[in-house]
Amino acid sequence: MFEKILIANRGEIAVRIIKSCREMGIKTVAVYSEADISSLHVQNADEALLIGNSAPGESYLNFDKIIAAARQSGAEAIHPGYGFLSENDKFAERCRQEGIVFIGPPPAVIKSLGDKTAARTLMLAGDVPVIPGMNAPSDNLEEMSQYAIEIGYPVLLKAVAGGGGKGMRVVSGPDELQNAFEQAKSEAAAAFGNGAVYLEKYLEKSRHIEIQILADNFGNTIHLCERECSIQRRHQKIIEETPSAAVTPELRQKMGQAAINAARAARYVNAGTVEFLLDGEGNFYFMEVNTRLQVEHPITEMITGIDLVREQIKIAAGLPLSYRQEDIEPRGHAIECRIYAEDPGNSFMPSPGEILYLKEPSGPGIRVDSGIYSGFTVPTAYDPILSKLVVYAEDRPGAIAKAVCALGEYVILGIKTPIPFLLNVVKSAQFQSGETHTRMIDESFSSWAPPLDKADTACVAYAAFLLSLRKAFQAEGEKPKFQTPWDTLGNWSL
Amino acid sequence: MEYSLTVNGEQKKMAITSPPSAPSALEDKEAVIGEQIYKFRATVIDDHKLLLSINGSQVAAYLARVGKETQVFINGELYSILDLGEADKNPQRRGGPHDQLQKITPPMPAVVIRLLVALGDAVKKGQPLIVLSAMKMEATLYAPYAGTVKKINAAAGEQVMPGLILVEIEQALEE
Repeated sequence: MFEKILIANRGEIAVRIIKSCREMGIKTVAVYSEADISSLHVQNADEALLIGNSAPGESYLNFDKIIAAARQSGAEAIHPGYGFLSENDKFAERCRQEGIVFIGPPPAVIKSLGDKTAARTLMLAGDVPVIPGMNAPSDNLEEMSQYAIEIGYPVLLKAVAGGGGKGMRVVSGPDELQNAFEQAKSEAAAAFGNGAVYLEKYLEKSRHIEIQILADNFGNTIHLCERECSIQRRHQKIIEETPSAAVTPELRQKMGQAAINAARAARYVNAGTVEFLLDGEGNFYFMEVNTRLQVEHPITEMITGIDLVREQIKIAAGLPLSYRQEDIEPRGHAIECRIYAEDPGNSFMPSPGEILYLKEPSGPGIRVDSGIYSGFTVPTAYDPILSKLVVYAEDRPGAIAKAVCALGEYVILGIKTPIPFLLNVVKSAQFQSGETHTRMIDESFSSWAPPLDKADTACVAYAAFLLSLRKAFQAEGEKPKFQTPWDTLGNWSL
Repeated sequence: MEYSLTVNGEQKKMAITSPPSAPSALEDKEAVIGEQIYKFRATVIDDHKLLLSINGSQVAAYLARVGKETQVFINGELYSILDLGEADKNPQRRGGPHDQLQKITPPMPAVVIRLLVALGDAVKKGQPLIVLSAMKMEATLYAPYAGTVKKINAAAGEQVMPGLILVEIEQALEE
């Protein structure tokens, strides 16, 4: 087993990886940029190395600096987390050349699956059903337009590289194609350094169902059931759950086998996720393989009891899988809500700034994977994910009830977060019925506005807060023990 | 005491009174908001947490001052309160929703990706004008009304801040 692992990432995922390493008795090395000097992952690691300025290319995406940090600290392996270098085959190859273990699939596998059109070809050859679409990218608007008419609008423009909804646009008619094409290209070029895009048929009212897989170096491949990630805004998942209300034991078996076939077709090793779209008739289509740990991996951990990061590390260290397929016995229901620094009342625009107050929910069946603390300033340079609230209960209604209570206790002041929005979604009759699909947020929550039902209570709280401050000021004529923003307001009266 | 507040964009007038017999500033006050009367008392837990008892029911409220507004968190819901009375006393800070004429300005620090209009162009209401990128996401700003582009204050690749008017549009006369 490794003695020391470098985590080439930041935020909540770096914090989460450090936890598993610590439990395994492995020392951890954090790397960080100048924007992250006071970030939590830096504080939690055994060693921390400053590697560059806030631009990702100068720090978290910089091969030379990360390799140098691994050399300097004596780390034998690098865990890339998600995003950044996690799906970069050239970095995985560089690690191999340097004699450092990359905790993820082999470079050739990342490369073939990272090119989404190449992956489609690979899956077609492996008899895995795929969505109708192009099997090669195109830079020709005319060709795109022809193809779109052929398969019929609406179509989905997708970046050949990357994920996370970046470089992706739904196009509902010919007049929208050019603008969407340009936006998708430039967004993909900025995010992944590759602006190539292709077209797929856009399946409306489908569900996003993905299968977690684990594969070792000895040909053992198992699946750890599905995750449903249909609740999305801007093609980015915000609520995920497992099991899916739409997946029967028979369908789970079928999709699980398809995922294993997909993994075998690609000669997959380590943890990965095979994403499918599931239509209303129970037909499923391959979308892509994510060759990394997923943001939403904790819900699988909750229902299977398996620590996926631990399994990733063991596989990378050359150990065989600890489980056979028949050992996987999912139990209960888990839901994850992603907490971003964004304003749900203003088209989910990023809302960076200082977190003035934080109180995370806790209790039985509640897990918070967090990268923040009171007093932390959310940097603008990176993806605005702050934390993930994960709840677990015996069944779906129990998990929903727990999510409602936990969101109600999740206090973040100073910036805007989607907590009030998430609360409305999980409380909605549509979510509770399990009739979820990828357009649900766009169709049913597009006109969402901040709540008003407790506005009067908020007013009373505001007045009481001012009164309490006045009382604190008056007490013995001295300043209050605590410093509040009111101290700096100067003279005011009530 | 009279308060004039906006809460998540909605106007509220509130009057706070306390019975003369009240032993301390925090106990047994009354708040009147519209037709509703709330009897309340409050316990300060820490500098951001208040335990309220309103008409006999307990509720925890968490508060913080953020810029001109006060954020109040109650049971997963966030209320942004703007105290209009406070703005009256400090005319230089007067602002908020009132003077937010539909200006084309970035909602946060951003980088200009692409300009979609040129000087002198006639634009329709809702026409995309400029594409920005912030925190790796692209956002498009649209024309708030029909008119003619009379000035462009940003170029592709430029870093821009909230408050900077990126595209100035002379409003067309009502059709």
